Amino acid sequence: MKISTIIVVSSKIKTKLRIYWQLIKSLQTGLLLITGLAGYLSAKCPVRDIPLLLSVSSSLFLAISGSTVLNMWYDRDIDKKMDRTCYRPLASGQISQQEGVCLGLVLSIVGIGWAASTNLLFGLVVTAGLFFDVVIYTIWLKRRTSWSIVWGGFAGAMPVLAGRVLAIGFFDWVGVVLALGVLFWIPTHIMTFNIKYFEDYNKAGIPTFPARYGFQFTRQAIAISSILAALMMAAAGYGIGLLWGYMRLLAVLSAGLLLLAGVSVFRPSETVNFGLFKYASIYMLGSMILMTI
Amino acid sequence: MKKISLVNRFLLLLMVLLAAYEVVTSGSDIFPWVTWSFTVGFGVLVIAGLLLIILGYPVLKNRLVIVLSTLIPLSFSLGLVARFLPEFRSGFLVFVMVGLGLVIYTRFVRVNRFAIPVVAVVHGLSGVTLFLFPFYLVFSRLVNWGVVWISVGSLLIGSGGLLLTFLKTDTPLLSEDTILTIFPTVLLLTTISFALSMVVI
Repeated sequence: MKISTIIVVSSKIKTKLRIYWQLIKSLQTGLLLITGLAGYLSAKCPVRDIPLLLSVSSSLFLAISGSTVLNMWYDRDIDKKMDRTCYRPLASGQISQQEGVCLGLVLSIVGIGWAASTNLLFGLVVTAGLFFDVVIYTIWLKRRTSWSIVWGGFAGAMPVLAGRVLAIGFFDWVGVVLALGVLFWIPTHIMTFNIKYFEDYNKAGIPTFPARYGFQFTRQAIAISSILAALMMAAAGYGIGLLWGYMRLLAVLSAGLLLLAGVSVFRPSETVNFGLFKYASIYMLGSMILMTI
Repeated sequence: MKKISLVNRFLLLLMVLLAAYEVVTSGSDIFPWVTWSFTVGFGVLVIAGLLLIILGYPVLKNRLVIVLSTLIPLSFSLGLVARFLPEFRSGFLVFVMVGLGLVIYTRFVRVNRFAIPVVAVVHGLSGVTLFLFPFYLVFSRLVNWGVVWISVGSLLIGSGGLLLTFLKTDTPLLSEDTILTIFPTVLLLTTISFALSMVVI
């Protein structure tokens, strides 16, 4: 094969991989993957079974990526209407619908198959997460009700529960509380985004809390869900048996979240809202790291 | 307003990690008051660092910064008093609670002309305590010279705070650009100083 042909082919592969990387929303997928690993490591740290850890990471990564691609495939029409999302690969036509749905299905099936072959219960929880995310949240409820966010929350809570279930072999209250921590954190993450891109969501006709109930109610809902998320994380930390020093650090991180949520209610501004959105991601990352120590 | 550089973000990240480490390790089971006081002090540094990384320098204009910056000397000085003069702990705690309450009240609930004097008194008294008390402890042979690092830290953060305050006057000592450029370094050095003092406390 000529060198020029190799260069052309490798350039095409690079471009394709770059597009696929955009399709899986790497940051969001990464954060969810970390929650799944934290669920596992909360009961299995230090790790002695490296192949199993790799299996958990890979299967979760594939399943989460698959559901994200399927969401993007299904939402390509509304993505076209929003300034924020109109450049996404499927909305902008960088790849075809068929390619998008095939990629989503392959990633999902391989991810679920790998998860189920690792452990049946683990596979079931991962499947439930994908079902909640793609079918219940995206296809059924997202365009009908602003309350779809709750089901999106259930979907987001499944990786951490799956990881925990795999580590101990059954459902326990700590796993449930960890999952509730993520569930209550999701509104903080999503609703701050709904406020920031209010016009975009309206343009696409997606029902959101700010559009349905107003900004102030949404901010109050964010504050309440942040309080609940912080309480659940504290309970999970207690259940896992975190040392007091780490519990104090968790309290500090939670205080930051509640402080921003409080300021957002009483002194709302675009800056505070964006700060809360960003801080919420750091909070989740920090909390999950603490759960594994 | 000036954008925060990558180097300064990195310095702030180091500060956040060091302060987080101190939250986990500082204090002891024997002195829960001391532990929680230092937890609040280092915790404020963690949150402040994260907010600066996320939102950049404009966050310094938020009124909340006054409250957070007042919490630093209040909590560290309470920790010192609770550790070395436990008989004064309750009295100092009352000062901390009332002082903080007044700062919040005059800044958020009913903004009035007392806002500046209240901050000056509360911040000033706790800052002076934080700076001078370690020297008293050393000269009283209660603890070795290592504790003076906390005075160094208070001096550093006090200087940083003063420079920021001067920005609001007509004749700042340094340009806004210079002050904001060195501010993350000042915060990191402050945290290092506080952390060094924890070794002997």
